[in-house]
Amino acid sequence: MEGRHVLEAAAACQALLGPAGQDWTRPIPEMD
Amino acid sequence: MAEAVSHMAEGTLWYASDLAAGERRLETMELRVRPGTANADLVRTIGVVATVLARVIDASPAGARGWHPMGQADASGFAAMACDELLVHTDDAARGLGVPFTPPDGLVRATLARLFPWAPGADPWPALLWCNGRVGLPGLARQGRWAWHCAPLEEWDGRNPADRR
Repeated sequence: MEGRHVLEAAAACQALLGPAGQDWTRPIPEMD
Repeated sequence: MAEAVSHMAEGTLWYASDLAAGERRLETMELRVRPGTANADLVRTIGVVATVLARVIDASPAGARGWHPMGQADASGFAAMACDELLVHTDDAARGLGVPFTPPDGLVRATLARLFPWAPGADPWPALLWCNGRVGLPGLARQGRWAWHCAPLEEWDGRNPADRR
């Protein structure tokens, strides 16, 4: 795998977490 | 949630440092996101540290290795570990937010093939979550312990390393 894969994963993460107004105080069911 | 995002950012930056440092563990640094960082800045940080790691990976000479507790990883292994962490913890966050997360299929397949060559032949995304101890699959209990193979694939011994831990 290459650097572009890391950028693609980060973009997917940002797409989910980026929108404003999310309630980040909600608990995460699983964290490891 | 912020802790999860910070964990992703810190881990990604650690991977860049560890690959650059070579096979001897770098123990001189403390890398952390400042507590209380605003959500939007955390999201931006993910992009920044991913760019740092991507550039270190792509600039690494052939055969470069870096320390990781699960094995001396090569550049491909560090890329895969970062992808795994970003995807799985983003899914953790998505479940906390109550929103669906559908990662890029090709990226999931590449991560599975690189880090978890023993992965079951299920749909790739559930299989990756199983490999990370997140879910059970039909006929396969959820793993209480899990591990990846981050050293070059030609050094894999054919077994799930979680069975040895």
